Amino acid sequence: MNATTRRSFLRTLTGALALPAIVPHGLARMAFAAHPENRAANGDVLVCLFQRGGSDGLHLIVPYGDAHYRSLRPTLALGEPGSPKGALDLDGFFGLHPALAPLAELWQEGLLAPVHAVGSPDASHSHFDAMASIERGTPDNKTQPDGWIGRHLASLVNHNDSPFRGVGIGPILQASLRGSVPATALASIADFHLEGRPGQGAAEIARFQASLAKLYDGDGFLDRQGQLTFEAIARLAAADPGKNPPANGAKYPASELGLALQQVGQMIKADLGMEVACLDAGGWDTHASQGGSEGQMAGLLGDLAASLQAFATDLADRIGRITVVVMSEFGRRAHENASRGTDHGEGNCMLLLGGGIVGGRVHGRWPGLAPAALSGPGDLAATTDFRTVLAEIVERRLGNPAIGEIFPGFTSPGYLGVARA
Amino acid sequence: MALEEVSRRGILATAGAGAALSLLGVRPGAGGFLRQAASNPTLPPSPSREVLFLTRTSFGPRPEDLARVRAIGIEAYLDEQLQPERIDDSAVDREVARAFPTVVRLPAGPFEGDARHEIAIDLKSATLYRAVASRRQLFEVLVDFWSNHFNIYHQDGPTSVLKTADDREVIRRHALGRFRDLLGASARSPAMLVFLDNFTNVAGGPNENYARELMELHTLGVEGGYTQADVQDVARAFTGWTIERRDGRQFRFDARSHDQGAKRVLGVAIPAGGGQRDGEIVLDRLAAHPSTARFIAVKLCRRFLADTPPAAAVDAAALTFTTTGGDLRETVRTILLSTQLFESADAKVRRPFELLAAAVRALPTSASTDAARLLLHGTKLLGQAPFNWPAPNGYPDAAGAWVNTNGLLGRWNLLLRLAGGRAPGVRIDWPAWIRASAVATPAQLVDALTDRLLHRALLAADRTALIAHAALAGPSGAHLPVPTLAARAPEIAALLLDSPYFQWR
Repeated sequence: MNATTRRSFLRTLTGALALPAIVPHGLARMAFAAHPENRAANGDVLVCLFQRGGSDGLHLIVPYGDAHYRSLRPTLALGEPGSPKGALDLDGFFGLHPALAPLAELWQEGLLAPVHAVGSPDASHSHFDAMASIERGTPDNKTQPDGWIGRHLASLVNHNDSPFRGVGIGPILQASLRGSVPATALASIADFHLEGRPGQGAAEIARFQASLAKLYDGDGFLDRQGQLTFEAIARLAAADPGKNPPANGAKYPASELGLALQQVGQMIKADLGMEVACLDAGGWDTHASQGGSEGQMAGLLGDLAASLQAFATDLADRIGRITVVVMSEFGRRAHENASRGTDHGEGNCMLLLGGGIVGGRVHGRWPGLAPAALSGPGDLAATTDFRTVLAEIVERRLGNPAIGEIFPGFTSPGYLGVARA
Repeated sequence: MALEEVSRRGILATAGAGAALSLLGVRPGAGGFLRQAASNPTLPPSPSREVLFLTRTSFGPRPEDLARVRAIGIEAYLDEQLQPERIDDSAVDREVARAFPTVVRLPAGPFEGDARHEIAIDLKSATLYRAVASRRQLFEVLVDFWSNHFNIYHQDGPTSVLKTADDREVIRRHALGRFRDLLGASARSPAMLVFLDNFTNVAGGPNENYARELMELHTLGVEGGYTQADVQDVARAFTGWTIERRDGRQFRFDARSHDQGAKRVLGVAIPAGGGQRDGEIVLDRLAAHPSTARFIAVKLCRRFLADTPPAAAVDAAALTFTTTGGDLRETVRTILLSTQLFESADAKVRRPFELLAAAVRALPTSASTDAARLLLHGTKLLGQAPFNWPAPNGYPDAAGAWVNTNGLLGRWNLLLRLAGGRAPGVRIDWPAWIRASAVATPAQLVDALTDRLLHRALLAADRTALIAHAALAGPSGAHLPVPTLAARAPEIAALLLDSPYFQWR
């Protein structure tokens, strides 16, 4: 596309909404139209929540029925269900950490499904290696330049030209979203516009924006991101997602995570064409003073549960078309250390939430915590590759069968049955 | 000069194009390395060698820096900057001591919440103030580099207080010294001992946090050739490395909680009963390991040359690191005098910290300590406040992490505010500047501001667009009164700062 066309495209956008047919990345994507069999954009909205730092899955979904659980964690283990501040029973073997109590209702309604002992073949125990490996979706290929969600969006031809197809909440775009379909990073809906200088009116701000757009009309890396930003500003202004207050009495916690999920809800309700939202929750690297039923990790879990519960309440009318995946880069060591914390481990627990999830049961094959069953330096073994779970969701809930493209080189040994087709 | 510049980059473009293209446009180098022929009219003219050198080695060139480097040459200028102790920075030191006293002298504790907060704000503000005002620009750039290499999150309990001593005694003391000294100081730094939990690492239930990051992030790199067994034995070697019980502000070796057994690290046996020596042996081994030389070389080259640094520059830097026994001053010198630096125009994007500091340095304003508070707010909004990255790997140093819709919009808004000249600490007397610059017409306003803020030429189309903006509906050559030009200057300055040109480092 030459500079003139690009400029007129931007001018159109700053005035009214552009016709979808001339959105440049839409055109670019047409070249990839190698999947006529793909369904149109009738898949679920995917909300991918990444717990940064290596969340202790044994503390989320507690294997209280495992004979070795208590001896591995003399100070951290949670009490039996029924005991004061004990785990909340799920199925007679696993229980919820008591701070996850807000999720119990979702479990009973069949909307919540933990998948236990999930992991990556890349058991490097490094945060950064493990995160990169999972977000790329290619544990065996470190040179893969894009992310698994980016490849999902690129391989699904659905004529959706919205710059909000993929949205990352926060200042840094999640690596899973990288790819040929440009994704929008957004920290705050309310602030997503050019401010202008004090006393400036809308016309002056628009004039400034038009001149700035002329400085971003090339085809370099910065130019393209600038063009995407102008387009996102225009679309967001037209859809005005901030007008949607939480519904059904949902109360989001005033935490970063609560606010992030609330904004995801607003964008879903504004029908901006959002197909995937990525967000992050930090603080899970609990090497020391992890806490049991209360303390450091319990606080994080309480925030996580309250945020997810509010989201499910807020979006109750659409929950049949939403899938939430909560995951982390690895689990933590089965035994606690002398700092009353846990070191980096392997197998972990994922949480799935949504109307199309086969909820109310804990999925996955439990390898057990007996010494011989542990992996490496004493980790919960990973019996399910994370890609098996994600591929099932992509295929059955997002309507994209191009699994070979999204997870190149991976052959699923068969889905676990976590999602309904 | 410009032609020579472009053709040199043409060679690089050919070499790097395949790799960059395969990266589907998420590669930051696209703006620089993907540049094609000199005849391509959409490519901005390159900055001069001097401007490029200063942009990389400082938080943005000031007119006086440019005059100096032009007068004495790049090599002599680098010599000066590599000996910061010989550069008189007493005015800045005095201001730091006055406005941010806890940075220089921390009172005896213990500290309550508010006092801790003040101590943390002092250090963050002093860091930003020094980046803007210090004459030891390269030193401040390196302090930023090593602060991220040995990253300590400021909000991890006592680190908000302990980081102040770490900044002074570890990072600043050794930033241009020997790597082994820097590493050793970091290993004993109470802030690091707390942040990576080693202060609780005891025999019988070792805590692997520090041991792993020591190898993965501080020395060998994740591909550096260590195993999980090495992590476990390095953790055992550092058992008992802890902090004083009284106020936690000093290093202490607690022999009773040290694992006295034999260890094996990277194939080297550490005999039983070594005590504190165990840790020192590990640090010696790591600092001298070839993987460390390469890892440090890659990271420094990424800071100064390109997100994916050229192999030849990395090889040269690693060689200097090895042959000089980890002399950081000489390693940096090798990189900054490499031909690759001068072939890498527009290959690095300024991160938010660098961007805001550069904006204050570029604008016609005097940097005050008040500006630091404003910059702190700005770096928070853009996601790069000093010492605020929670993970031990430090802020990412690649454009892919920073350039996105949210990041660009945030930059645009903040720079627009700064250019207004009314923010506390960043006052600009636009009428005075217009008089001093002898600016009389909209076209002259654009040219003078371009020169002042960018030190490089614009594409003709960009210059035309800016002049049209400055002229409103009038002719571009019309003589306008000073107040009229002064009223239009902030918008033109903001457009220049918001443009792609100013985003390049």
